[in-house]
Amino acid sequence: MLSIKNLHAGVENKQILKGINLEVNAGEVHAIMGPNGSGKSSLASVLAGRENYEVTEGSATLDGKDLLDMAPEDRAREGLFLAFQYPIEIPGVSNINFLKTALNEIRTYRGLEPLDAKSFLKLTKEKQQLVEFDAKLVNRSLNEGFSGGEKKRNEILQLAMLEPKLSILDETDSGLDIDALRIVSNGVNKLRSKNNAFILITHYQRLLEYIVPDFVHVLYNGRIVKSGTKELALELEEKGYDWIKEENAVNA
Amino acid sequence: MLKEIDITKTRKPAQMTKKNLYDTLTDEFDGIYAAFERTEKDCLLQKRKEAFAYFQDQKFPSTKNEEWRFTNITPFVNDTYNLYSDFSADDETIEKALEKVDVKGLDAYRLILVNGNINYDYSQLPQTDGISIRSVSEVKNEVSFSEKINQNIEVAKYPFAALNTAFFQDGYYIELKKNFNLDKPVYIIHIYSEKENVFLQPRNIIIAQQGSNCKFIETSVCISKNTVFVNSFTDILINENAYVRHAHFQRGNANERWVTHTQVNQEQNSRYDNYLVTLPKADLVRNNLNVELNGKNTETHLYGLYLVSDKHLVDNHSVVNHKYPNCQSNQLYKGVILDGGHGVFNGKIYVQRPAQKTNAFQQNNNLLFSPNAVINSKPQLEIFADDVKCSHGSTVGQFNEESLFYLRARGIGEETARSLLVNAFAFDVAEKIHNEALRDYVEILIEETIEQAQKDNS
Repeated sequence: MLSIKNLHAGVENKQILKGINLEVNAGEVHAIMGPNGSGKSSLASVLAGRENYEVTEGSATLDGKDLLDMAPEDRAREGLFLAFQYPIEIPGVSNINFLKTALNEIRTYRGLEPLDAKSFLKLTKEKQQLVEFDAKLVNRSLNEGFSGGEKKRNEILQLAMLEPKLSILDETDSGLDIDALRIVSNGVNKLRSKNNAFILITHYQRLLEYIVPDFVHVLYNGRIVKSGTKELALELEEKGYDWIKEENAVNA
Repeated sequence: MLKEIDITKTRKPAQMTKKNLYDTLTDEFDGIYAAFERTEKDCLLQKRKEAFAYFQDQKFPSTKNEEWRFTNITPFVNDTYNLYSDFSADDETIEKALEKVDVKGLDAYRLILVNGNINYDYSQLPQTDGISIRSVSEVKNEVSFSEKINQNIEVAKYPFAALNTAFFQDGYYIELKKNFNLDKPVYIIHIYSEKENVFLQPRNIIIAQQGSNCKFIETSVCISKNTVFVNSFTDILINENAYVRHAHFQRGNANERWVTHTQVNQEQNSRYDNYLVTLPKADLVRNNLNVELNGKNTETHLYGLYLVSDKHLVDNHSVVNHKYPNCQSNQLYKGVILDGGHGVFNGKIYVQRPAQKTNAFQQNNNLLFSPNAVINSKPQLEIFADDVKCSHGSTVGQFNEESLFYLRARGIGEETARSLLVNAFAFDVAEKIHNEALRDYVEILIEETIEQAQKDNS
């Protein structure tokens, strides 16, 4: 589904990603871990199309289509979803209107009719129950005055509504209490299917107890330096990142 | 319907050399005044003469004039214009114009003016004795007319107001009778259709007698390939306990120049709400909105929204003058300046010594879309009373790229995303409009403006 080859990217002459290779197939969940500053969020930003990043080398394709050539909205329409680490508050744009606009633009792109008001409301209700999102928040301005947990749950609601092929969750667990973490994880687990895939970017093994990954990758200094199964996450939790850094210092 | 045949006779053959507006006005005043003399009463003629003397003394303001510091009108008044046009326009032109300003779902009466003159065929006026709608040319010889105009304005300080007073020919006269409550808004549409470059000066007046209640929506549309400069003046007199709601939509094209002056006089316990929405892309839009509070317990709300695009200049000047106790005024103006646009906001609030217990608020917020967008904002508050609650403020912010990316990352196209964000910024002004059809109209106008700006950029 997602194929990243030798991806190099940076911001203003500063090289951040230095040759990422990653294959994600439908039905898989991949976790990407790594110390601060290793390039995890940059990878998410580059894939989603944040404009201040410049790709200098390599490729990224989603089902064979070149992602890097597309505008951010087209990546989303092709089925890429980034759950933001810090969801943006937009006063004056209602959550419901935002969801409707997004969903209908994506449907139009895929050659489907826009949903009528009734079907849209039905769908919203269904999904908001699925991710245990407070109905009151749906009618408020987008993320305005939401708590950290509510913002993250809103990201998962959007994910549920838009049904992407590939979802990247950028530190969705940060700032969540245990209950919110459980709710967010349950939501993701319900949305998992053999047709979609997830990349979880996280610092903590805790999230991976709730959403069990098929693969765990360690990103360090702009490269994936180690890949394994969920046991690798446990090992990191126990030993920290120093041994990874040392190994790489030796290799370098 | 009166036709100003006398005046058109005074028109001189088209000049071959380029003549600026000041010279045109100076050369033609005597002839035009002579025509006025044949039909008008002395009190009005006296006002015209005085006003023209003020104008000749002041001339057109340069940027050295503090009130015109950021708005350079020199290039516009250096052009050559004819001073009067004929009032005719064919049905096709009128229908085309009406289509352009159609507000979907708006249930309203219609007052149509063509080049300043009421067109009764296309108007749909309320059939009641409670309201009188006539042409200014019909009423200007009534003795009371000249007393009603230019109340509480120092004409000498407003060159365009002086000029309008000296030369105005026609416009609408609306009077609401005592305690009359008009059931639907009146949509006033000014159509300008010109075969030559013209300088036009319509004069309008709204009088709301004691206890009356009415709503007006006003807009102008030009169907012309020529240069049109409109200098309009509207007096609004709101008597005791009356309530006037007044929405004004301004849209235009290149080669259109608009200077408007709205002079509002409020008596005690009255209320005036003004909504001023300005969109691209006339060369120049300068609005003067002066509100004189002549009694206690008045309420005034001024809401403004301006979207300014490339080569478009929008200048909003306002004055609210608190002279009596217990009055409340509230002003919120929001501006979105797109690439290459220039906006000006200058809001003055005076609180005179007797105006104790005044509540006066003023806020101007601006959103700049690009490094080539300019806003000059000058909120001013002068307080001479000691027991008042007043505040004023101005903000200038940049367009938030993070918000734009967030929306796009959800599959929303860039253009739609920008429209959503501009609508969100404009929301606290738009939500103040009571009429749902008008609120939707504002949203559509914003979308169209952003769409057009994107097209112009690419």
